[in-house]
Amino acid sequence: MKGQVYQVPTAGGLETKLEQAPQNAGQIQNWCVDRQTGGWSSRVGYEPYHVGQNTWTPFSTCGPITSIHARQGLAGGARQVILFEESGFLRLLYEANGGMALLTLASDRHVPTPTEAGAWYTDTSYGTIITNGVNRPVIVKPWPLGDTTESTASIRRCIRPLGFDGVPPPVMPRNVKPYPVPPFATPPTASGAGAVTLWCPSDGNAIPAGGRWGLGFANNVGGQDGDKSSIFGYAVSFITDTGSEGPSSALSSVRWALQADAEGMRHAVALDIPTGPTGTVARKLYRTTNYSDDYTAAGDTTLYLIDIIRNNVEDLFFDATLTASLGQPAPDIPTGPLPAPRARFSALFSGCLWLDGGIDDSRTLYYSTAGLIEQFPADQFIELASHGGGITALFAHYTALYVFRENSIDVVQGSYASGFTVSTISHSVTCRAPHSIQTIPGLGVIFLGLDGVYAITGGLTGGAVNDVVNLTTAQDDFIQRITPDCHPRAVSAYSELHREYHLYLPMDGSDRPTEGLVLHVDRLPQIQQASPWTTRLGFPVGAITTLYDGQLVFGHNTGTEDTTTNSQRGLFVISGKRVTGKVADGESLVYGPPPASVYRSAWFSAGDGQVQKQFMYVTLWLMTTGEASVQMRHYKDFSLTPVLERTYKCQPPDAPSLATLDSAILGSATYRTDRLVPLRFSVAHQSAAWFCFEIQTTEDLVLVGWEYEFDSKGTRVIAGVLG
Amino acid sequence: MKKWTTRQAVTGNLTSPAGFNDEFRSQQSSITTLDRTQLPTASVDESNLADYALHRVWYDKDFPTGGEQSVDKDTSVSANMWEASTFQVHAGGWTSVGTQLLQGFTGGSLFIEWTFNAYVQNIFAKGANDGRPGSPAYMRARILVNGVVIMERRGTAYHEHMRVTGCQQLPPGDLTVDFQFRLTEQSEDCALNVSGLLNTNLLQGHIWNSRYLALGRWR
Repeated sequence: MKGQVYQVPTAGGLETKLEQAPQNAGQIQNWCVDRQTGGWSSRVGYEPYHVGQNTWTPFSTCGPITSIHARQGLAGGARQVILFEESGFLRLLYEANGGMALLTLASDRHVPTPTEAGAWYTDTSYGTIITNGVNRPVIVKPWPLGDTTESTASIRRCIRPLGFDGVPPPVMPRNVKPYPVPPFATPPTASGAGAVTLWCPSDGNAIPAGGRWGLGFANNVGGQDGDKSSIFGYAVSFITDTGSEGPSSALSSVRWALQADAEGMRHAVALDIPTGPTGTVARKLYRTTNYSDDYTAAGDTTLYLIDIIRNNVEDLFFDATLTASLGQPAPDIPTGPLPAPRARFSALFSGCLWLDGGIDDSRTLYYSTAGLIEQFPADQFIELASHGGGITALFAHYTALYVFRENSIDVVQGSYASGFTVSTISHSVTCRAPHSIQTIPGLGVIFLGLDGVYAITGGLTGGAVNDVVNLTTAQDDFIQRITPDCHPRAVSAYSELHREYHLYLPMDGSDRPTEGLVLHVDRLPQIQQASPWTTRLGFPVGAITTLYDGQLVFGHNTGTEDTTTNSQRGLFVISGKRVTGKVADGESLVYGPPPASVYRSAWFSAGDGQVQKQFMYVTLWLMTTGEASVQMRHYKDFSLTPVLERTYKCQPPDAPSLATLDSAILGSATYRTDRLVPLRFSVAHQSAAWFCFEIQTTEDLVLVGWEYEFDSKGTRVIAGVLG
Repeated sequence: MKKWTTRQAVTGNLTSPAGFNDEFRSQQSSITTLDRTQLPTASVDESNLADYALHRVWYDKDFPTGGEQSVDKDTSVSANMWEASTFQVHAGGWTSVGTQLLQGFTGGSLFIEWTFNAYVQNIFAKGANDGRPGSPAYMRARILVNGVVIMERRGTAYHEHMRVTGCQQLPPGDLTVDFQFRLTEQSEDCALNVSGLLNTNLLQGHIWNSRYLALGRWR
């Protein structure tokens, strides 16, 4: 007897909302998209980053990893290093000469609380900027490090505080003792107490290019200029290896007056100049004109460039620059020190480095001069409207800088040259999970809001349509399990290798990520028909990122906090290895068991939940994978007690079994392509208004679709229970 | 870079071409992202390196020929003087001792060192009668690469050994290095001739025992 048939050619993803679309799944855990069929494959797992080891070296002491970033140093994936934070240490994983070493860039850094996000990383061409909201932002440029032995010493040179602490120490001009009157009976050689007499003849006959050098009045013949004094002020600023110029030091001056009857000598000034902090590569020296009342620029302390000292070593400078030879004036708006020393987030947009003000200045955005990421003039900040709340993330995308805030989403548009504007694109969507933000091809910017995963689609310029859409309205039961206060601990990555957006979330009261929600980009074109979401369970992700080739690397969420001997710690890679990392086996480590993949279909009512159906067969369309066994479980009417049916192998049902690994005989078995085959299970449970099936496996299984065969006599369920 | 599993061969799985190809194809990518610094220890030695693969040295211990500058060569000097630079033949400004073509530079760091002994006539540097403070004369020296100065020094006075070194990051391509010197210009009443012998010019500066070393290191 052939009953009615309902076919699902492509099995859908997670949907928790009742009534579910029949092609979706009520539970779909640990599956990825099979590229050959578009179905679901159970070939997922994770393995240690450092393969082939029997110990956790070099991660033996690693606690929970709260943030991770793969820095790209050169094009082509060369000089790629992984930076991560654990237990207050900022670590760098250095792979050189075939070895792997864990280097410590900084210690005693802030460990994020359960309600705080891990550190934030922004790659620039000068290095990676790391902020965490408590410690001073740092810039890390891990090159060159030498071999693994040398690197332990050279690593200290790879990190320095970002930006400028404050103004430099002042320049200290030495006193000028003027040259005595003619006939130069005894030229002064040493003036004592640091004073100097550096005369600059003005006559070309005295020295080549005479008259090109020297400061102050030169002629006091007859004593008429005896009261005239020369006063010059000096200031210095530092230039770092990012090309940024810091604030100028306070003005410090030197004064002298010629003796009566002195003639012919201007003077040079010797300056003791300060050296800058780590990262300083040059210093800019500024000077006023003669601002004494006796000169034409009385009281004018405008600073002009004298020279750039292209090192950070020399501490004595001779200034013999004529006032006529001074360079351009110092900037009108003075550069300040780093305005956000407790910044939590950073982003590069329109050539500028953007920083938020940190926890105690959380509504202010600061931006650097374009191309000079440490140079923050005092007027370059944007005060955001108060009602949106504090900044929770910065993310540059396309023509805008998205500013996620506690109660709104703002966008910064414009350019450094023409000015920036801020506008709000949403007052109602809230993102408190900064590490959930990623860019997804074909979709836009994706992030975790308080009530679901959202995408900002479209553009903001040229008439483009912009929208903020919730992608998880049908997965609300899952979203509501997220620990509400721990949203900031959610972490994510988009892998172009797997074409998956992985979002790991603290669930069910946990203070750190415990369960994953995966968006399969391959399924986005069919999002109207079938859900693109699956979940990941048993992947201990504390922080996650992608390498140059799209490999998903994650840091363990407990590490040594789990004091079990040889508990998992360090970095792992989500791969096709059918294992869950490594586990202790005596003194050694062996691969852990494969993760369990579960697929439970949506509750199916055949269009009318009042009518009782008699389900006869469930046919699974599978790709043959060999000896992997499939056992059918099925449920009825929302009961969670399964009925178990017989077990089949993933082999063609109507042909001889295909050869399998470790049992094929050399010379007789051949390679055969996988086949798409139906495995028809007979199911029997009398009648059901709602029906679903479930398969669980730790073996290789590729589920493409299924079909139900059922009949109905039209019997309806009882109307209700009398109260 | 690739070192993790794409598709694991598990006992009992089909002998399927895809099972092999998925893993094999992803392993094939590993060579494209290797940096020289990521190579295993001692994987590169003389036996598998072509000449000049990582760096190259150029040198000449007698540069220019004879190790002596001969651009300024005044023959009207006393018999006990070098036939060298006098104010009668020195054109002023920078004078090239010689140029050298560094062929096969493939981009990266170039270090150049030029050493020589310099003689500078300084006896009358102050000027005999002008009553002004003395200003010593120097033998300034500089190195140009493709016409751009990479190092310049004031140089020595009197008769001393001098060393000029410079280092620069440069793009690939042949490099022309120019070694130049410059005498301090004469003062108002410099001595130009040997005392009492107006036809015998007074030597002002000379370079001898000149040599150079250039070391290119590719990135």
